[in-house]
Amino acid sequence: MLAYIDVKHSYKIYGSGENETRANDDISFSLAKGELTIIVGASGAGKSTLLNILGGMDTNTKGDVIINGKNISKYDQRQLTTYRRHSIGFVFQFYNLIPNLTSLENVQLASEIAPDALDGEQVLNDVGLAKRMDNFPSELSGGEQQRVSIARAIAKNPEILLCDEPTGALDYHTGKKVLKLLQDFCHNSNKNVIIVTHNAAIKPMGDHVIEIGDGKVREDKVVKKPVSVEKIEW
Amino acid sequence: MAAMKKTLNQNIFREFKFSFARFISIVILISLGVYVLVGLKVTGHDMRITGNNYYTAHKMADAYVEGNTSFTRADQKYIKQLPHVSKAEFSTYRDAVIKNTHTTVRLLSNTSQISTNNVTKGRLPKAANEIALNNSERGKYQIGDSITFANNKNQSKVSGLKQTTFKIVGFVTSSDYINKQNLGTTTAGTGELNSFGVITKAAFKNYQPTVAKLDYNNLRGSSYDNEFENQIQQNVNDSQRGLNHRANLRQAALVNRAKHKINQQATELKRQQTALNKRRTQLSASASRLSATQRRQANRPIKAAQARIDQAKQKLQTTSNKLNSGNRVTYQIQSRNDYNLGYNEYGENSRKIDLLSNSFPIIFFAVAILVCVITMSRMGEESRIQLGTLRALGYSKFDTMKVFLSYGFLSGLIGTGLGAWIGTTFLPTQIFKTYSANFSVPDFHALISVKWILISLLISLVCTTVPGAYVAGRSLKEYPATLMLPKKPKRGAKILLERVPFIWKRLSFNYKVTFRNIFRFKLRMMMTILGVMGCTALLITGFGMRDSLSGVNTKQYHEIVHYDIISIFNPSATTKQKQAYERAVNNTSGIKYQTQIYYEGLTAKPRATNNQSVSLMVPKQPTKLNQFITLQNPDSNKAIRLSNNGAIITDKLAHLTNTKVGGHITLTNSTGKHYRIKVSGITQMYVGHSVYMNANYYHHRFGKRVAYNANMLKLNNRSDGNINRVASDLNQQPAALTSIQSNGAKKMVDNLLGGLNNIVLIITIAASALAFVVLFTLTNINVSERERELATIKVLGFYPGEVIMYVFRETFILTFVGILVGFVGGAWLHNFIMQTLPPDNAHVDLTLLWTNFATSAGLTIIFAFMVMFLMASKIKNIDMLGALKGVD
Ligand SMILES: Nc1ncnc2c1ncn2[C@@H]1O[C@H](COP(=O)(O)OP(=O)(O)OP(=O)(O)O)[C@@H](O)[C@H]1O
Ligand SMILES: [Mg+2]
Repeated sequence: MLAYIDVKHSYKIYGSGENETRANDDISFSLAKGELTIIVGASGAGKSTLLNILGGMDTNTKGDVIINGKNISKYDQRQLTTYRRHSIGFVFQFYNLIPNLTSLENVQLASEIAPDALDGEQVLNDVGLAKRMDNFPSELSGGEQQRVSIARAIAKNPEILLCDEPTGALDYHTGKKVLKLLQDFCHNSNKNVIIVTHNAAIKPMGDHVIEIGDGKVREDKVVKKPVSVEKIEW
Repeated sequence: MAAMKKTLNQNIFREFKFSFARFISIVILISLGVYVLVGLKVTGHDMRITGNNYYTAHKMADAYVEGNTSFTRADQKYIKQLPHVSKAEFSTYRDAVIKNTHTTVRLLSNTSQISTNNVTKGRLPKAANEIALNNSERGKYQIGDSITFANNKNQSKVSGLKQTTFKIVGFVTSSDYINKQNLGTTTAGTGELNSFGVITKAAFKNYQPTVAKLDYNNLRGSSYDNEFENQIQQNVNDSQRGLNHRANLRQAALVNRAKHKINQQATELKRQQTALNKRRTQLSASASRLSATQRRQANRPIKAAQARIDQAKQKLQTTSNKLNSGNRVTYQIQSRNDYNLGYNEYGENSRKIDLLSNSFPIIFFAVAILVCVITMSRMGEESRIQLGTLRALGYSKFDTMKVFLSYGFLSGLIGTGLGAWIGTTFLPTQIFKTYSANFSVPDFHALISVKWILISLLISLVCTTVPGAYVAGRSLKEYPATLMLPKKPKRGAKILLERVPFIWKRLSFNYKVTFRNIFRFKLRMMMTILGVMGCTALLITGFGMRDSLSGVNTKQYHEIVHYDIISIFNPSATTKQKQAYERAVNNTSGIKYQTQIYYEGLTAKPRATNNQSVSLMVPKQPTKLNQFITLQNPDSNKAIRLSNNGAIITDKLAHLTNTKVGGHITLTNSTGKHYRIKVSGITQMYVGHSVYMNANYYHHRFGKRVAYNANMLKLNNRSDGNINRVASDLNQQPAALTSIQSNGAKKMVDNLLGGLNNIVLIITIAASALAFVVLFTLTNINVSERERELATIKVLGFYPGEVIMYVFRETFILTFVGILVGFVGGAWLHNFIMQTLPPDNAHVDLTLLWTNFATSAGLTIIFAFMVMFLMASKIKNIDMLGALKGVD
């Protein structure tokens, strides 16, 4: 199997000498195309750091990060921006919607700049927000806001969707709905979705689970038969 | 608690450190405002104080009495006893030309008590062959040099002086001649007085005083104070009548003496005639006894004697004619403002700066205050969480507010200090420097104006401390718990424009976002527009002032005034002299047009301003007047004609005296006689007041036939050099009195322009700095307030240029709107200032040039771009990860 995402001996080291912190410490793994990947680990384990490096928001200190055959760890700032623009969709714990733009406009903001963007209204329709298109973020619930945020990430039609604690600020049911959305997107579009979480209970929903501890890969396993989110309880 | 306080202080200190750019911005804004306010407020005052010190040092005369004939002893006694005169000193002068040059010099007899000449180098003259020259001649002459004067024919002979060659023994300054260039009018040389020198009384042939310098004892205040000036004017007005009476007595005495002499001579002539007749009869009686040759021989001396007697009779006849028609004796009394051109102009210039100080600083201060207020209230909002934490920790409200108070207080204090310092030292000296090119008033006194500095400090401190403390105080009313949560971001909302689908639908996505954002922060939107507007308006006014003033000369000398010289002659000169003068005029080369006119200097006394000198002109051939002066309606540019029942006056004179067509204006001649003149038309003129009338109306109003006394000339070559040449050539004629050059006004405007240019430059630079700081501060706030938003779009993959444009599209639109509004504001401000700024005898074209608008807009746009480049790095350095970590 050819790896779509290949991380080889990646380090992220803050400071030096006595104060040295290794947020990522020799991380290696590879993901196949179309996999829903769950990255779990305790707080401070280095999950966000890893995700940011994968998404081109941060650069590693050492090692290679090869995405679809291209080594992004050698990219300069401009190349990284282009990479984010064309290939990456981000979903944050705290939505990060632009307060002054309606749901639709928030989505369009992303689709405006992507080359093969999807239709904003269609995507919002797909995430179940057809009726909330003209509302401002402050008029939406947390779950709705996160769905707008996912719609914004999806609308760019990226190759990889990166989600950092997407359910962190949501209640159980809403969280579940959001995870379902991500799982469906992954399987329907055959794109890579990587979800970072400290909630080990959702591990079964992924095609691929990577556990991180202390900046190192503790476990790396491909799940044969992933479970639908509806069936997971925690 | 002490430890706690220490942490608090550290916290305050950190606030300064982290927002250094903001701190600097506030300091700059405040100091700009204070600088312009204090600077312009003190400069006019400083100039007057400096002037006053100079006048005091020279014991300047409060008033002058000048006679066209010398004063008798009785006159002198009378003048000394004029009401309120505490002291009087007498002197005289002769005007001459420095040999082989066109430079005209007034040679004054030295005075020791009033209007003294203060030595700057060397000493005052002691011997009859010594002279002390005007200090401004120091570059050209040295002590020990000798200098030779000449009459208008360049002969080393000056009437009234014993000798013409003097040894220079020193250099002096005088309060009576403080202009460096045009010191007044003269009968010598070109007609314009260039310099002066001081000689002893002994240097004059038969010294007789013609000038009385007076000190008054009822004056309070100092030069240029209203109280002071009004009192002098009143004293002067009260004395003119009595002096006219003295002049009439003197006239009568002179006539009597002359008549007596004429009678004596007539009797003598008669006696000679009788003797001659007797000889003739004797001769005819003995004629028969003589041969023809003998008879012829005897007749010859008789014939010669007869011819001599006839000639003497003729001369006697002209002298007695002249007695009746000749120049009357006048004793004219004038206040400082009227006898001293420089005193008046200097005061006028200082008041122009006062005028600017009432408009410019207000705008500077208003803009600076707006931006301070917005910055400080933003700071209050930013510190919510911190305030909440401190409150929760148990600090008092005052303790938590300390940071705003100290921040505001320090920035206000430093800003005011800086502004007051440059405003007190740099600005006034810079402005004064340009005036010192025209005036010989030295030693500028930059005074510290406690009043204006305190006012500035008060305004500044209110602006820098109150807004932050107010916003913070408002949040402190909330419970610490809710305070510690960040304030919810401003909710998005539909804007009005969206309700106009016609436009909204057409906007590109980027512009929709931009407009939404513009209207999201309404206060900042207003501030940016106002800030840019203020700066653009200031720039337009600055550039416009310069062009309007320099436009005066071009307009005046291309469109209105076409003559170059008015050469005035003495109508009661002998026929022979007048004929010679006419020949000289006709033989002058390079004259394009010439015509005879009657010219007289009159005075108008408008209630609101100083006395205004007015030129009365009566053309001999009214139809030809348009070759020399264009008389036209200022608005419609339609030609106006002279009529038999009224005079045409120039527009600024009409404006000052508040006269309309059909109304009347009162003019006063040099002996204080008033003439009420009907206004039949108002004509356009930029500099100088004139009244034009035809001979019929003159006869009607002045009760006598007009006696033409001047030639108006238009030259082919209108250069200063050629005008000077023609003027001094004509003045060589004994019949010529003086020449008035039309470009005299040009030089005055040039001088004023020179002075204002520096102010304009200073204002333009300050306005530019203001524009820059305003744009920078507001954009800086905009960027830091929306850091999270910008980080988000960076993550989305916006390139740096796109991120910058995301913010700057707003700035540019607001700048654009600000510029447009600034055009309107600038036009208004320019109009307002240019109506009051020009000297009383001038007004300017109020239309702004398109270049004024273009340059101002261009500069503002350049500032916007400069701010963009500065901000680019700040935006580039926004940490995506850091900004996105927190709670929404
Ligand atoms: N800018 C930084 N400078 C120094 N150390 C950092 C920096 N950013 C992160 N770290 C450290 O790197 C380590 C990994 O951080 P990271 O944010 O990746 O953890 P995480 O697994 O996402 O934790 P959480 O579940 O709490 O979000 C932490 O120990 C953190 O303190
Ligand atoms: Mg994390």
